[in-house]
Amino acid sequence: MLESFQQLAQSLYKQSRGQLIVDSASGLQSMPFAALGQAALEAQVPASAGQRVALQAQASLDFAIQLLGCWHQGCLPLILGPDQNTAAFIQQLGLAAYWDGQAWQEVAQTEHKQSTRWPAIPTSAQTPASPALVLFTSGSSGQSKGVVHSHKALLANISGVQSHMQNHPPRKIGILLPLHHSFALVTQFLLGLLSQAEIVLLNPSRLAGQQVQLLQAQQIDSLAGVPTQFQMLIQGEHFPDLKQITVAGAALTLDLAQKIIYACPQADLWVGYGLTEAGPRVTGIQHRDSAFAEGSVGTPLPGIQLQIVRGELWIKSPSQMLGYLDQGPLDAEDWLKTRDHASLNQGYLSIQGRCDEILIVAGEKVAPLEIERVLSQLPEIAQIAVYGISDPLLGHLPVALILPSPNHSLEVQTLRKYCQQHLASYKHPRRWAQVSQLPLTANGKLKRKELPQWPQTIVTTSFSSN
Amino acid sequence: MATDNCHDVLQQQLNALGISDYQPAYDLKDDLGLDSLSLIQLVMGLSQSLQIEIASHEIIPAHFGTIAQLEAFLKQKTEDH
Repeated sequence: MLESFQQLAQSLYKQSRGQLIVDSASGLQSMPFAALGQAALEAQVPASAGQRVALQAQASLDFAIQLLGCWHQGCLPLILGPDQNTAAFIQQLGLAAYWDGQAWQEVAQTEHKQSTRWPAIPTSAQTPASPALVLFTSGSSGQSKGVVHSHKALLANISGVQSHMQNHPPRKIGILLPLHHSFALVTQFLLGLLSQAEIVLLNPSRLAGQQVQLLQAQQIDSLAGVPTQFQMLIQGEHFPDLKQITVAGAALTLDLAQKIIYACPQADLWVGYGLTEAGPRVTGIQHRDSAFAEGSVGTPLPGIQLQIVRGELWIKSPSQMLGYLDQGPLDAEDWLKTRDHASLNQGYLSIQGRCDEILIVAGEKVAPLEIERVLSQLPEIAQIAVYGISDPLLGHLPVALILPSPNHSLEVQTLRKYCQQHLASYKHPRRWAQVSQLPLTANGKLKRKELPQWPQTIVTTSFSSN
Repeated sequence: MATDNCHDVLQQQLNALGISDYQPAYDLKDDLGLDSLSLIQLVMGLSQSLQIEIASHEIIPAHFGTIAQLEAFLKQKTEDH
């Protein structure tokens, strides 16, 4: 039994089963787990045991090799998504090296003293309680926060998911989400490596028809993703090979659930709830459970305790994070406050929404404040406020209310191009509207609750100038 | 008739996504910056407005590459319908 991911490369090297298949830009590439383990044992990660390194998440064989190589060398890998891919962000992480998707790069060190950084990781063999992985999540301010997990927390979550969904050990796992997501990296990718299953990393830049063809040709039997991805994949399709489907990251409507069951008649449909800080999976429910139709996200994985405090879900879990990067450890006895509005009924959890203004767009957390901060840099915008409206396809649709600057012309095309340059695509406003003023308190603070009802004119081409 | 309707509906749907300035040869992804979420909105909007069913396996580069390819695909779908 694996106690830390430091042993994973060695363990894979000895395996006779399992392979990683990647849909790369140049076509399908594959590598048996034994060869993957060997390549990781031989990887030249330019860092020593006890140091931090960052990897740009990527659906590639090389990403897997470098990640396993980092663990083998006793380094702490930080997994970056598109939001963290800026020189300024990378520079302040205290890294020994950074893998940009192609090669290892040196990182100019800041003056920040290494000794004051948290967590420290052992320079000798790692224990199960040592920090193993850092994943990033978005807080309500829109700033990325590094979530630090120990080896044993991640292993506990993987084994919790395996025992909760025990009836069908996956044979071939298709991964739709990018690997900087905890849902994809921990409960699919690492679970697949530990289960000696075959793993297929799908290419997010492919169109739905290309994904469908690959899923069918590869006879994938286990697939996980967010509701929006399934909405796009199952229209008029039939997937007889799929035995297990997991949907998480956003609420699944009963209508979409029924469409998925119709398209995948052999499959058990699971809905899961989780968050990066919790390791990530917290609960799960199968579609044949009577509480499924009531919209519950199920019962907790083994060892996880839930309580509702003033409407908010609090969690205590063996796979809880150690703490946020450079912010110090949490007490293991602390309850994790999720900021999700929830209720419990006979052990079954239901999620009603967020306690804060965070939007969930296609399974991704989006802070309106960050979109406002980025767009307010444009001189054509005098004031801006962003809110979300419910959308059956995307979960939330970000709407931007804009008061244009006097004597400036402003085009929607300009705004779209600016967003493409400065924000990850799921953060782009999907509707633009002009306002003559915004609802502000006497102190000039935005009254966010009034935004959905605020008088506004939808703009598709040009804002009218004053 | 169907061609005109497809042309107009496509224009309306692109306008709703904030896209007004385009040419038939423009690539949806590279020239118009349509990301995967915009594409979902476009597919659903076109299906509803033209009352056609676009199956997932039909969402391929040959149909959703350029504006001209998409318009030709929509014309064929509405004629088959």
